[in-house]
Amino acid sequence: MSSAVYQQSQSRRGRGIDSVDSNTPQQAGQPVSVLSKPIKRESKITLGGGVYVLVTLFLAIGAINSQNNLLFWLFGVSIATMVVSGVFSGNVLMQVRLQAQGVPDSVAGEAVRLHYTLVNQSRFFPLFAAMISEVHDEHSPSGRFESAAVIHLGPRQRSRVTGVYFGSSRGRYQMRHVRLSTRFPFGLIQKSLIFECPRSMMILPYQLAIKPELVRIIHGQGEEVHRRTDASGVSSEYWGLREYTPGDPKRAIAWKQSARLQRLVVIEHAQPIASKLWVWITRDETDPIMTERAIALGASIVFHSSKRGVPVGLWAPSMGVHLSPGLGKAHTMRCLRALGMINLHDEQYADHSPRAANADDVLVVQAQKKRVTTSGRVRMLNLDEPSAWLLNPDGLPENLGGAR
Amino acid sequence: MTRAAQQSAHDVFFRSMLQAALGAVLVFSVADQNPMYLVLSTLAIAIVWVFSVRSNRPAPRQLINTILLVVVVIAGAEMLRMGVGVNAFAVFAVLLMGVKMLDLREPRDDGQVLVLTVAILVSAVLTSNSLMTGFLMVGEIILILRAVVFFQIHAVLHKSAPTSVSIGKRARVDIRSMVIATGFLCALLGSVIFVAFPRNIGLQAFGQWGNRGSVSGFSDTVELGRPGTISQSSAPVLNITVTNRDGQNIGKENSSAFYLRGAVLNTYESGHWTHSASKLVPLSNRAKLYPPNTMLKSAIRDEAANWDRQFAVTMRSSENGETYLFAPWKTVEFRVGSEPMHVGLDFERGLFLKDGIGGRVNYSVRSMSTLFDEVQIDPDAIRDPVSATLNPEPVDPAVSKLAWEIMREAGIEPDPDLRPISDDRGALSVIETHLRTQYSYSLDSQAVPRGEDATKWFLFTRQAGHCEYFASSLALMSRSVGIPARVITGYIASDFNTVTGQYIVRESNAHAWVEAQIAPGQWRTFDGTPPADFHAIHEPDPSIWRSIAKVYESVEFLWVRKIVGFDASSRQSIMGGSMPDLGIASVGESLLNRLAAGRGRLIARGGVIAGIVFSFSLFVGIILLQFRSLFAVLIQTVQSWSVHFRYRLIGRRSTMVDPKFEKLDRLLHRALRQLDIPKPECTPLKSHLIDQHGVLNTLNEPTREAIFNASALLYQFKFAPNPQSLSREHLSQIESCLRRSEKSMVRAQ
Repeated sequence: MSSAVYQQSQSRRGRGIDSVDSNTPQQAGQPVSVLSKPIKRESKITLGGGVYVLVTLFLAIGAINSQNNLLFWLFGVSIATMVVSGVFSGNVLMQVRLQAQGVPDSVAGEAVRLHYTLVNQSRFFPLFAAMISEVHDEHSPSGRFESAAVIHLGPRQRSRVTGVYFGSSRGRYQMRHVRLSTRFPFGLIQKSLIFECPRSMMILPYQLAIKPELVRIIHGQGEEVHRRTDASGVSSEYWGLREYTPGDPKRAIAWKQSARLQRLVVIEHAQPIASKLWVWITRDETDPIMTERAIALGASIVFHSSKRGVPVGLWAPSMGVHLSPGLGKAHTMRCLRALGMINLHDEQYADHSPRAANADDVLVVQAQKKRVTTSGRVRMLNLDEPSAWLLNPDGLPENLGGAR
Repeated sequence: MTRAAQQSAHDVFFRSMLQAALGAVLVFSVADQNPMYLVLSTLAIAIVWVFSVRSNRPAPRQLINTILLVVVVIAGAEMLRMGVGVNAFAVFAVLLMGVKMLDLREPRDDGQVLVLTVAILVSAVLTSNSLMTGFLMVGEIILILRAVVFFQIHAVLHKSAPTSVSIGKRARVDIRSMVIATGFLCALLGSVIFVAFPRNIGLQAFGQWGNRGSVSGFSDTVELGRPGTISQSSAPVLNITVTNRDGQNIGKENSSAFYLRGAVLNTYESGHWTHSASKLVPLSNRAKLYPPNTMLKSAIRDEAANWDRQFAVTMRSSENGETYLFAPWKTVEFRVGSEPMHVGLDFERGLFLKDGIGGRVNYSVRSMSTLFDEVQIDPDAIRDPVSATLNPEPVDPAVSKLAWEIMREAGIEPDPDLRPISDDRGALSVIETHLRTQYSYSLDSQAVPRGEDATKWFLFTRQAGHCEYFASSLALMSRSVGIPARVITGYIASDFNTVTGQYIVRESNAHAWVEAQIAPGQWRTFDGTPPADFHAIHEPDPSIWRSIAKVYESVEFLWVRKIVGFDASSRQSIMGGSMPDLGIASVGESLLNRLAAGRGRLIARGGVIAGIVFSFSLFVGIILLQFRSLFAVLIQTVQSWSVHFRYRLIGRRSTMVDPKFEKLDRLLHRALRQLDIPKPECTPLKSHLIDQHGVLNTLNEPTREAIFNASALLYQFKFAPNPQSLSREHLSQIESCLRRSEKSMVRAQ
């Protein structure tokens, strides 16, 4: 069965490949909604407000007890402050409209910027010290969200603000609502507006800082590259000289030869042989952390291999993923998105070795303890030993069983 | 954009917070009339600002904790010295604020500084209600509002994603407008609430708060020979309006002074003038509660009818409990102010308020002139004898001899048995003149040599002293020539403010003089203190500053009368009878008055004590939290020791030092023990179980599932980055898995 047929069969069963193909990345930064009105308003007393109420009560008791008129006045001002605070913050938020921009694909553990456009349609009231955050629900991604801050938005002004999100779990998520909240002016009451801004967000698996020799050693079996004679490339092997053209890096200039030839020439290197690499990811149903670790490591290998010009394919039949080896940014993204879409709650399928394993290199990222049957140029990665494949073993993310 | 227009929001906030903090200390210093608070606090805050806040380098925790302990010790010492009161609390709050400024790490810390600022402001208000305090309080409220507004921006920036933290020019204009608008609205609405809030309800329901009032400068005893200086403070004590029978204000500048009697002291012993206990029922026990505006007249109706001056007195800060009501001699009528008064009344011995609440007191008295010429002395009248009980010690012979010599020199018979009673007034005048001319007035008191009579020491050795020495000398010399005399302490009113039409009596106007009997029942005022010296020292200089001060005092009196003295009647006059209080006032009055008197008071005080205990516990908790890392290490060490000890007892070593680990491990171990699976020492548990699949496969499906689930969860737990963060739900999930496995195994067996 060809990979295309395999993908179609998987998509019919509701697996992730179909989703991968259909999920073309939305244009980052493009508005996904028009300026929207709030669908809900919320108010709550803050902790500071609670303390303030207690202090006001204390002032009232003090004033009544001592009949101290300045305390009476202070008490009156305290009450007035609460009233003014409520009225002011309510009026400020009355005419605010919000527009959320599309969210680009992001990598788990890395920051993605979320942009919002805020318009204050009020004629008189400026908006101060507001925060914009995403409303969490069952479809929302987990992770840390740093709210977008609005220091000041004057009447009839428009502003573009940016929040930051650090996703901790790969997957495709929906973000439906955005909350604009402010405690201005006195921090006693937090008033919020909920805007409906449906957007989708793709969080790719973690990009681990794997050892650079990992791909090289496994793929090249200990050799640096396979020299290829018909084209220049990016290996460290010398291939030839050519005349300098503007844009060539200065480091590539062969100064001695240039001096000898009385014109600038640059060194060209040989192109490494792009033999195919299959990344075979197995699944351990009893240990989701190990499976996540396998997915992250697989994604990292795909990323780094593609970067080095190695055609890489994904093989994870137990999780319904099969992508034939390929090169290019689009292929890499397709692989990463496929890995990102894997749902461990779904049914597990039978695992078997890649059909092309005899001809190509196979790198097995094995989550389960049971050893897979392998043959040919197969290399196994032991997930229990991060030091074997991570530059910094302590840098393993928390979600993957790391120490941070 | 200019640099000024691009100020960092954090910088702006920190500056506004600093201004608010210093402003609060300034208000308290002014209220407490102690500039040292401001000086020391400014110094401390400046140091903290330069070395910590500005450079954004909070001090190390250990240093802060150490300073905090020192602050607690200082505050405790202050409380022991000054008593548990507003001052001690304010000192503590100021010190705490300084410490907190060293520890500005999170917006929460900044907020705590602002809360302390408010606490200091409230302390200042509880300390004093002067005009300056009120004026500064309004300014301070604006500063606090501004700081709070910037605090919101500062907190939002701290919590949100990194962004531009500068505040543009337009933003600053908007903030300024907003602060002004909200401040104005708050002040306006606050004033409405101030006027509408019912008064005279629940007074002292929770006991005495704030400083007790005091009539400064005045003393109801005279203790001669006590070193120190007499108060020269110009703080106003009384405001007096003097009118005649037609209601016309008869006060004027440079007029003769009014003597306002406070305490009547008739017993002299060892340099001390005190008031002898009455043989009859003590005056304080005869005090009665009089409703507002009650007129009390002298027993001698003729005298009451002959009043010619009315003194409307406003006492700015009366004492709590018994306090003297100052009145001229000879008072013949007393009118209670706008509040009911528990007044002790003896038109000769004086007036006092028995159960004063402190603060402002209004009353008015009517008196009749006591001119010497009006006294018709019967030449055959018999002089009242000088009571021996009032002089437990006979007048010193030297003092007596001096009085006799003075009278002989003036041609007046000193022997009371030979001297006609009509010469008594002349005799007193002679002695008075002698004292005024031969002795000098000085505020500097020196210690009297041990064993020597203070009056004699003044007359023959020191020959200079303050008014109490002159009054004591005059009284004793009068008694030595057979004329009954008594020392009066009170105030002299001579400073007339033409703007308000009132006399202003200050602390420095406290004075002592003598009343002597020139005929039976006829007591007249004599003052041996040199008037020129006295006025030169106590009267303010007639400079331009004095004129400015008078204007200020006029405003201050307006403040005292309209704001500080705002009461139920003032409220009634503003709101009229149409005030819809919906019965709240009457219910509140009933409730709070019950609290104030009776069992409720005990409950209320119990509540206050409970509040203090709670606050103290909270404080101790905060201290413990400060040292929480140390305590956590201690607790963890103790727990580890206990686990190790227990395992040592049962003969096995444990790598489980965390109590959570230990508990889970124990549960799982118990489950595995039933399966005869040994617990691994080093191998990860989950791998170990997989290796034991032979045994586990013999179990039924639920049991095996439970064991694997539990081990998987425990595995996750062990490899979690922060085991302490394991939720309670997660723990209970693991435990239930293990217990389920146990039950399954039992069922299987």
